[in-house]
Amino acid sequence: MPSLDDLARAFAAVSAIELLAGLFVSVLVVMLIPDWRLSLAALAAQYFFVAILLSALIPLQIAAVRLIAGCLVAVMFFVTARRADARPRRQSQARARIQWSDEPARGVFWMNLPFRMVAFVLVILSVIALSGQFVLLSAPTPFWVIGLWLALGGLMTIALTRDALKLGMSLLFFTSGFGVIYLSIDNSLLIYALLVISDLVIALAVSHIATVPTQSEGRRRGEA
Amino acid sequence: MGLPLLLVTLTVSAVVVHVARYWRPFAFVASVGATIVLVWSVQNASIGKFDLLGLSFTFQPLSRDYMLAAMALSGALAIATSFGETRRTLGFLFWSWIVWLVALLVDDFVVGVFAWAAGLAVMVIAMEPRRMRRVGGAAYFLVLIIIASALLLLGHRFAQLYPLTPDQISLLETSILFLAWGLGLLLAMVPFMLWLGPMADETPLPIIAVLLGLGQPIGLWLLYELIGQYPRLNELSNLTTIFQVGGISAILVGGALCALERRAARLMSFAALLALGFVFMDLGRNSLEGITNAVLEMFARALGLTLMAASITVAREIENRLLNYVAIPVFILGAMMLAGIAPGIVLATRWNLLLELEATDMRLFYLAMLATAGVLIGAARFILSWLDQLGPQPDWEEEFVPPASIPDFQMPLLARARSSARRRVSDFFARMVESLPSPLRRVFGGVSREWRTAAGILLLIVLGGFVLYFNVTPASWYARALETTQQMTFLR
Repeated sequence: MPSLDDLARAFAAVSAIELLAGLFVSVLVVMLIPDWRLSLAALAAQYFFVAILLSALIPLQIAAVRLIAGCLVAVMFFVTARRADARPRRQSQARARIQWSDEPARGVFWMNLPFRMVAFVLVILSVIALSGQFVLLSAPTPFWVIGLWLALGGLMTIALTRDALKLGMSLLFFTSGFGVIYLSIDNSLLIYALLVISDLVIALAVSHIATVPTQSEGRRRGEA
Repeated sequence: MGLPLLLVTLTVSAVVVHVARYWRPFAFVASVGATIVLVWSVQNASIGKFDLLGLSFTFQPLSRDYMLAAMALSGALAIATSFGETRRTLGFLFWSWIVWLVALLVDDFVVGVFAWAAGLAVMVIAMEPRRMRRVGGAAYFLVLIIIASALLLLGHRFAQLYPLTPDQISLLETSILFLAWGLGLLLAMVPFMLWLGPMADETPLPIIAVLLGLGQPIGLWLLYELIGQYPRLNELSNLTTIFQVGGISAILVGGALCALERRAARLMSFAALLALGFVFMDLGRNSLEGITNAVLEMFARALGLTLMAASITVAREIENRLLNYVAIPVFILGAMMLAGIAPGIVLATRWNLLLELEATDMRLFYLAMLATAGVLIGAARFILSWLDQLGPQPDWEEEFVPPASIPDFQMPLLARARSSARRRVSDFFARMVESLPSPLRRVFGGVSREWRTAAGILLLIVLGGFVLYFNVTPASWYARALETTQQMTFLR
């Protein structure tokens, strides 16, 4: 059974460059690639790298709690995505039999890939500009830059996506970025615990939104 | 009753109502029972301090009165929901109060913000997205909750650090910036109110009433708790100006949007925005009288939303002409409460503010009056479309004809167990009624057929009667609000 020492060795094996590259690629994947499996892998990787980063601020065993929460969130999203995926498949099979509808499947993003790449470059430029000009309450530069990167990447993906699950993943990127920034200016365990709990609540709410049956057709909520 | 016991009572009530929703009579009885138990529990809750995990929990007089009103109104909405065919959202009218109670009791801003946000996130689960797996009002509301909470936490951190540099107020100004931004997002201050419409489209009416009427003011409570800890936030910043500008813009935009709206959910949301504008204006006066008026305005706003939501919900679920004729005046009373023209204390507090506006800027006074007319126009248009739909309906509910039953072996195990239990209960009552003398049997038969209509009419009459009582006894309500407001930490 792996112990905390093993975890410490695994964390130590990741260099600073690898950590930065890992977080860079995580945001890149979630922002550019529509496939939910890859996005989920990027989310899990992000939790791993953020746990490594936070272990510089808080004790290792407490940082590992975020890793466990990340695993739970990933499992929740995996089950949700499988359930949500199964319904359209059944519906499309039914449609194929009845041949009533030829509505094309809608994409995960509002915009196509070139536009998303421009958005990605914009996020990079924003992080460079903001981290060069401002520092929030003397937060250490690496934490400030990484926090901004995750938060802005998450926000941009929220703006680009129309898929509830992708929105949930982006929201968790945002909370991770905010957590990194906030913990670097206020090393409070209470905040850390509440952030971990809020990640689970967000995952629960997003899973609900992604799987709940839609309102009855033709009658909008609130109409007379 | 101690505070931990109150929390346990609230949790148990929410669980019971949530579970009882599967069978309508149970849902109704559970909703009525939970309302009575919760109102009694809050009324008898101790105001002593309670410590847990290094945090202090206290029931201040104002927060206790607020909880009393919240439990009564949430209960009334739960009863109205229990008449419906789908009762999925029934438990959610109580779930959020478990964490919102923590937000009202705790003396720590950070925990309060997380508790408030958690309660709002629970409300998201009660929403019904319009498209499968697609983002809509519910998803965007969730995003707002998270972003606004982050901004509030940053604002709090800046306020915490201000005493380190007391001669410079830049930290204080930044704190106010983040706090106003975060609260502005969640309270739908102009221009952050764009989420209101899409959210309303995906939310059942009773949930909107609880969310906007009772959930939003908790944010203001947290802000004033923070001001109690750091009075400089109020003294050295332009918070009152922010309230006044936000208030007048909410009044104008809310009134204009109401005039253009016919959908009930959006109409309620925009009318609530207008009423919130007057609350902000009252808070912007930064005086005891202003805050007392704001408290009364908030209560009237919650009451108005409850009346509108309950009347529409009951009228939609029970097709009965008489019930509709009772529901329409109750709806009008709710709209008048939100517009601030219900004669009595609501009109007095609103007019007090309008006179002040008239003295300072006549144009703003006329614009505020126009905005009020916007709510009335929106309500009138909605009522006209409601009356249009009042086609031929049975005077009383038609006798229930059970649908062709599905054979038990085709049902899932849980549904089979539920169906069997329901059948046994029905058989038991049927046997009991059969053993009664004939006149009593006729009475029971009538009650079993018409109980929804009778209970719905009774609920609406009680709600309408309470609003009339509220309006004709202004002195006692004002004295109560003044007494509890005076005891707030930052005023002490």
